[in-house]
Amino acid sequence: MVAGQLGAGVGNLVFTLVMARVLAPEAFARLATFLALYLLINLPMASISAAAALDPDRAVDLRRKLFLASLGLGVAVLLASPFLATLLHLPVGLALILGVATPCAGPLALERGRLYGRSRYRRIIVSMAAEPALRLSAGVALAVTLGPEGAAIGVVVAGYAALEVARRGVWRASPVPSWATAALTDAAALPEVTVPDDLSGLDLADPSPGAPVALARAVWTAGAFLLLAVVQNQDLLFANRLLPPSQAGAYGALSTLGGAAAFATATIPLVLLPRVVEGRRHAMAAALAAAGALGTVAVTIAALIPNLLTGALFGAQYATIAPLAALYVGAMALLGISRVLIAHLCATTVPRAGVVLLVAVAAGQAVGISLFGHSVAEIATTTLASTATLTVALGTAAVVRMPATRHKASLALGVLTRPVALTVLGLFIVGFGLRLIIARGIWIDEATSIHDAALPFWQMIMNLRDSDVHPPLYFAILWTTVHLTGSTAQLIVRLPGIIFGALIVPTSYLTAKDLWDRRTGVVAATLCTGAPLLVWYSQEARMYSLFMLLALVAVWAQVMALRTAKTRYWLVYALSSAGLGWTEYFGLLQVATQQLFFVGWLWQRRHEGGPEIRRALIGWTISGAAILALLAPLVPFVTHQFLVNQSLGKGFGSQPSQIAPNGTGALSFYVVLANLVWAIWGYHSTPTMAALVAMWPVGILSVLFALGRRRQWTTSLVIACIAIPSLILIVVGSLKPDLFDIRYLSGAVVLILILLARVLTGSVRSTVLLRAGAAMLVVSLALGLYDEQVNGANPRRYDFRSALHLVDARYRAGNLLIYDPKSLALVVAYYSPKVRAENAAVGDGVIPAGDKLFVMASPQLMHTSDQSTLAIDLQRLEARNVLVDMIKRANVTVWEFAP
Amino acid sequence: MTVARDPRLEPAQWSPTEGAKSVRSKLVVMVLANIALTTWYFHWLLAPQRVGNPVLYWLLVVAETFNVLQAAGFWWTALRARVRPAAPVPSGAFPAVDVLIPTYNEPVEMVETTVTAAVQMLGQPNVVLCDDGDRDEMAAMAQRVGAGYLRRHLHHGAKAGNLNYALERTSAPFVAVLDCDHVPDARFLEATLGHMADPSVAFVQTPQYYANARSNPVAAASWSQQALFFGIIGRGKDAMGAMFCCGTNMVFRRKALESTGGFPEDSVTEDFVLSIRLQEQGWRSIYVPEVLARGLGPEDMASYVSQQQRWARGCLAAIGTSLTSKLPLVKRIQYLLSSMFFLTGWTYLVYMMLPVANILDVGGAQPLALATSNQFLIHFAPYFCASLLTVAVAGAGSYSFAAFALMESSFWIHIQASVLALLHRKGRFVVTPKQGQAGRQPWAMAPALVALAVLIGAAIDGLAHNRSPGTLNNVAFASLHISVLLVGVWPALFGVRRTARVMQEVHETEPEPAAAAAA
Repeated sequence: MVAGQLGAGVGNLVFTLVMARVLAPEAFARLATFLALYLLINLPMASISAAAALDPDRAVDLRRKLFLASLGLGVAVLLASPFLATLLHLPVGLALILGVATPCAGPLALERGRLYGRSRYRRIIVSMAAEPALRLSAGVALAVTLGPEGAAIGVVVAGYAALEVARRGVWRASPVPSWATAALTDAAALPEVTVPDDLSGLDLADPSPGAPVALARAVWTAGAFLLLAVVQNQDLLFANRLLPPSQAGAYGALSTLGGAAAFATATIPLVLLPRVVEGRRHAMAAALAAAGALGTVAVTIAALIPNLLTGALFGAQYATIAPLAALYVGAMALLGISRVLIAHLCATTVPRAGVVLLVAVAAGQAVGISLFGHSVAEIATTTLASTATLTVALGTAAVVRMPATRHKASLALGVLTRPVALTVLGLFIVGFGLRLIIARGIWIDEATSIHDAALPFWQMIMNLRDSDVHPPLYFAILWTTVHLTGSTAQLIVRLPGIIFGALIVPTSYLTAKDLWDRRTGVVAATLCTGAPLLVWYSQEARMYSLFMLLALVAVWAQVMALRTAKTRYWLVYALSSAGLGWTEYFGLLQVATQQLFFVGWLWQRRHEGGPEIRRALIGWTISGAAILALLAPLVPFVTHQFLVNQSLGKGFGSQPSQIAPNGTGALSFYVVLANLVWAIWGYHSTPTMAALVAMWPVGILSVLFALGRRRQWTTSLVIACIAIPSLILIVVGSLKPDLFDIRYLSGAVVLILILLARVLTGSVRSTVLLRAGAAMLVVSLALGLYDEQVNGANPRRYDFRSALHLVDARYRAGNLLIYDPKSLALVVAYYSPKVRAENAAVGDGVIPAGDKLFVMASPQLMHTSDQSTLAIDLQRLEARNVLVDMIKRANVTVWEFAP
Repeated sequence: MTVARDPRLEPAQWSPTEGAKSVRSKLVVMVLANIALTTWYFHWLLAPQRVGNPVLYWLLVVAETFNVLQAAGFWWTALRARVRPAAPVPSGAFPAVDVLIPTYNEPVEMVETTVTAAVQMLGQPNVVLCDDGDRDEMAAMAQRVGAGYLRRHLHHGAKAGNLNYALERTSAPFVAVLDCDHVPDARFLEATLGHMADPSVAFVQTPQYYANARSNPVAAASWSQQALFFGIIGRGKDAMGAMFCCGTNMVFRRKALESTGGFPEDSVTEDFVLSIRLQEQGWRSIYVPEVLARGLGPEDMASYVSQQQRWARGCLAAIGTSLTSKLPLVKRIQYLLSSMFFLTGWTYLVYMMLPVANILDVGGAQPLALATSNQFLIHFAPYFCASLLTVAVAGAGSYSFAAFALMESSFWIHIQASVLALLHRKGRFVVTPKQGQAGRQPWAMAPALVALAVLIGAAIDGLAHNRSPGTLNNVAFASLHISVLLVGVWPALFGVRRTARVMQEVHETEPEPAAAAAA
């Protein structure tokens, strides 16, 4: 069935694509609107299909009545065609053709519904295939001669042909039983939906179904499907009305792409309905899986080959919609899932709540588009928001309606309203808020991420492979964010990091609670809420907050897997470990450490034997194999990256080392200590760091404090995951200082924080003392956070944003901005895309009359030799020109020269 | 109303052989690492160009050298540690044993528990309560539980004199000594007498265990020091035949005791001196690593100080005896290490003095010249961490920060004892209060509080006048000592919560404190 549906969908898509090429954009926009209206009429009829699928035999008497009703509707459309034409900017001819098409919709739905009910899938496929076949033959021929009206006629003819195929198939296959003709004489006698055994526990809206209930269900179901059609199509109608013709045509193309995704899943609810009635337990799950899989495939294709789908298929004039292809197809894929959920709702209850929800979503979508729909991207984004809201709401409702889930939900609600849960929730909100308060602009590495994420997917992957030193997982997430939102605004590109960073707060609670106890969990979450380095890297459009989150999850999952031997923990462990490797290569150090820990854990228990050890051994073996399998595809990628970087002579470091606060670049004990201070209290100015590191003797206390403390194996695991990667990086850093950087130990940073929490709770029994200790630590972290974020002397803060805004304000056409070092190129392109900018020498230093020259430099990012060259250039410029202004921002200076 | 159960009747929560099986291979690696790292540190420290202020420099070097010698002694002892197999239970009838329980002014109910348990021991115990307090109620209690009772007319020689008086009035071939707060297991004699099958064995020592360590912070810290000694150090000394008797929970061969004229009455650490004398005559000692009696540790700071003062004075006074003894070199070094441990306080004084001198600019220079923080750290930190890790691993986690803090806070006791020993001032028995005091006892730790005040003053002065990294570094060192001292003197400053059963017996003679190797 899915293949048939896909085939028909592809056929219809091909017809639309052909039309997009054959017709002019304005004409195509008209046809697209017609097709949307055609769908708008046909889609609600799916409710009739649903009813017929539920009880195909007893629906027979509806045939005549339905035809008459459809005919009436068609006449109404014909009569209203002038108004429709004016309202929707359609030629009257198309409105009239729509009226002719209308009587076909209801009977076609009925006959197909009966086929679904009798599992006559082959006939359905033939019926569905008839439509594109006739559209592509007659429709295309008519379009060439008559334009959009001809194509519309082809569509209508195809619809009637499909009806005939379906009708013949039904009656030949199964003559109407004699009892059926007498059974149902009006709509009130719609088949009563039988509640299957496995759904008997459901809290149905009306527990005593009867004829009135059946009628109500039919009406509400029709309403639900009508509203689904509205949500699916009204955006196109709005686009046709609100946008200029060329943009409306582009939206039509976009809608066609999305429509294909929606069409691909259109039959799934109809297959689902009779199965639910039959009481098949996994019908709903299978339908959801099919809709989800088809939707995912569609989104993936749209994401991977957007240019092919738009530019190549619709023509170059539609290339502008390529970045929105994945977004819109995603919206329609979500609608496909919503349709399954609505169908299930209709099969099990009178879907009043569903209709209310759909009304709200449709209204919200209409209002949203009216208010914000000034472009193709904005209308598409609003549609995505609407379908996502609908899917989430329906999904939540479906889960909550399950008896088992309801019980669990009740338990979960009890847990969530406990003080500790509310505390963690509060911390999460505070943590999220702190991460949203971003005091600094985009930094070089982030600009690189944004640049890469704006590329087509495979181009981004190739770019990473050829010129980067990081694995692709985070970039794929950023890419998805950028392409789903269609924006590279600062907040948007940092959003994934902020979300991952905020998620560290509850995850740290969970980890510390399960590794030790609840109060350690609360202290850990409190520390992670405002830990300066965690906040810092959560605010970057880079992979480090994801690295931290996965590091935490991997440790938690390993402990839970060893404790419980449950498959789900092994799965989470394997996925998070592989995720570590796909996020940051240095994450593999933790993966290796955790593997070593398995060996040690098992070795210590080698004499114990028993099923627990055996299960752990099996789990370890399988999860290890899974991790290897998941990491295997990364091998050629990293090999290529390494070879390319080595051949370019860059190795893994192209910027001056930032491992030391004093910028010495050499690894030393002092540097290691400085990094430890960074890990806990964040980045600070050089004098502050010198003072903090000078306080190292206080650290002896921590060593003394460890005396006599009996370690749990969970603590040993955390210590190992901190110490071993750190030691390895220290050794590596002694050979290649660039590689010793606290960023590469991000996973250890978050583990240090939960270990600090453990030290605190493990050494203080009194609650008062514990709170006092935690408060002191939190205050110190808060001070560190404030200084890190606000202090302009923080050597990690680069205020390119402010500096470039200043250049933008003073820049005139013909001026030139010279920036140094070269790595600032993408930052300049991000903030000042219209400024003519170069990373070049100033030459003789002569500025043409009437021009201006801006020089922007960040000496801290420059090698010493480059700093000298810059100084000489500036002297030359100053000697031959006037230094109009010199503006200093955090670690950035701008010189403005005029002749 | 809740009646607390006597903690001495609870099973012991510790075993001297904890982790013994797996520790040796780890220790070998760690000791090798320690040797390498110590050499690395001292090679750097002793470089001629490292001399800053000569006085401060040499004070630092002497302190560090002393600590390294103590640490080396610990590594050596720990590496030799073995778990002695249990001796076969004496076949046939148990030999007769006189069980002597000396008492002075302890509560009757506390002593009664001990005496009752002693009477119920397997074998042929002839329990004698040696009462130097001349109390009739004690005599009545002894009669009630079936024990003998002795009372002296002349109270000389303190505990040693009391025991000698009892020795003259008993005749069994073996003599067990139990402090009156140490409740023996029923199998105390069964587990110890088997070792007496070897006629050359003079005494069998078993661990002292503080049953109140779980309910009292002073007892806990004090126990933490003891646990290290009765764990790996005791086992190591036993392997070298250098275990000395520790005042209680031991069984002597009467013949051996008689060969030295009984317990020496001229020393406050009569057991330590007795052990040297016995071994000089060729007798052997045995240590059974099994908790066979449970007693009470000091429960307040005054008790602890009093105990430490006695041990320090006794052991320091025995340095000469150890040096001049006719023991084999190995044993002589072992005794010397034990007695010299009580000089450790001097090193703490040096360490505390250095940041103060630097902040206040006394002498105008740092002890070390041409040394950056980075250089110092890279040489010192690995050495320091490895040393502590070795103690932690060897002690199977028994040695705690609280024990260390209490030790550092007691630095002045070592200084006081060594000065008195140098002046040849004889120690006298100071009876510790029988019950732990719940109130504050700041005077008990007055010298430590003075040191604390000086360190705090110096730190404030440093922060007020100069916030350069150099000064901050010294302030941080001062803060380190302030933190450690604060933890150590906390019970003296703020009192100890009184436990339901707070009883303290006077330990007139005790063994070397356990933390010998913690430095």
